[in-house]
Amino acid sequence: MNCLEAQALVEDALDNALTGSRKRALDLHLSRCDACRAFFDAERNEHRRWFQAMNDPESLRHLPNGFADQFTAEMAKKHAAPQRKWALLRAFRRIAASLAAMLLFASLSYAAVSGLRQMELANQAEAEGGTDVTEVTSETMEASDALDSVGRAAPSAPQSSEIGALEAQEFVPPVPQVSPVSQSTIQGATTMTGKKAAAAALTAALAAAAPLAAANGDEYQFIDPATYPAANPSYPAASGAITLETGAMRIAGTAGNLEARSRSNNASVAIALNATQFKTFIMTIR
Amino acid sequence: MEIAEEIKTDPEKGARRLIAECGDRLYDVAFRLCQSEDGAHDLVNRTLVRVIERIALFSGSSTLYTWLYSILVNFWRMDMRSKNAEIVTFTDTMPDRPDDRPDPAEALAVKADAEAIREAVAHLPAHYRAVIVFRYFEDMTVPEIANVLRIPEGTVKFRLHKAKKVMRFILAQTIGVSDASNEERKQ
Repeated sequence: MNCLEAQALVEDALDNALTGSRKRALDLHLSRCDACRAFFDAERNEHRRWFQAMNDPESLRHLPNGFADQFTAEMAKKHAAPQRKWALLRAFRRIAASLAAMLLFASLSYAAVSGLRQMELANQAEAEGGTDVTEVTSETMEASDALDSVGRAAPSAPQSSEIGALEAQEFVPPVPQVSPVSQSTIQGATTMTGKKAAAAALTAALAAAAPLAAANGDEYQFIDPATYPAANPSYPAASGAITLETGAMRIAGTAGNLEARSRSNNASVAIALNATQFKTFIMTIR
Repeated sequence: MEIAEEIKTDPEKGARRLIAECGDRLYDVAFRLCQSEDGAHDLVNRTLVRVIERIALFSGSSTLYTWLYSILVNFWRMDMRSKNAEIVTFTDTMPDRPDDRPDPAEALAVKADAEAIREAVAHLPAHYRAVIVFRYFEDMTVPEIANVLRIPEGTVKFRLHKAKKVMRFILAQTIGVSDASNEERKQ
């Protein structure tokens, strides 16, 4: 054993943890090497002095008086708290459920109204012998079906290319194409924690809105609620971290603000997402 | 009855016993690590809450102190990280050696010496401070420290080696006298 090897054992020696051949080898080295012996003595000496200094009874600190009482009282309070928390959660669930029901009802009534109007328009057009609205509508339907089947047949790869295509399009703010009579706004603003809750809320809303796309040839746009309803907001780029699909609709977005479109026209949904919270949800159908 | 058993059967009584038996020592270690009374109070509080809430996880394979300390150290590290880590450089924290310091003989008085040693610990960078506190204040062996800090034994030895060097350097500055061990090392 050389000096370097011997000195590397200093902490083990201070722990009295050396046994067997290692201890014999070190002892043998120390018996021959004055420098190492001095080194070990100095280390032992220092160890003892530092230990004494740090355990000097005068320097020891004590918990403040009454700590135990305070602590046990806090613990008792803390463990009583969960009941309140659950009550709050239940109340929140009730509110969320009624909000969803309202949203669904409003969408369906609008669908019914606009469906009637669509038929009226078609009849009017036929009567006038002008543009064939029915044909336009069926074209829109075909396109949305195609998007739909792409999404369903191969959910992974084609989906992202589709999203890329959507992103690549230059976004043109929607111009209301129908008369104010058919305009309807459904707004719900709520805060939900977790992507699952956000996904569930969106899926429900889009399911409710899907008949409109079919009946009305609407386009759904997901826009930044911070800028909504500004006429021409600059929309943040969407990418595929969150993907939701309902019928002809597809939403793609990152954890930031989110934008997505469907194949139809004239409807917009504004939503904001951050990493863990679904913040606002505003849906406007024109 | 073991404290752990008592906490399981009667949490409040167990908590009181835990505080009575381990509270001061825990608080002392906490203070030496974070160097503030408020910080130490908070660390002890959180550690005790965790211990009582997770007592079912205590297997008894390590001592209760080892478990307490490893929880405490974990909270302390989290605090350090959230404070964006404590960056201690020797130049700006090194206590100045005052010109009017007492003469070396007096400075070497055991009490002043002890005070200087405790003061030096406070000036160590955080991860060196942790090994020194457990080594000298708690008189732990290298494997015990490794267990509490959850780092390999080799890392403990390396940090001890470095920490002791820094301690000696600080002491040489404050006491103004490099102790005997340093003299011998120079040879």
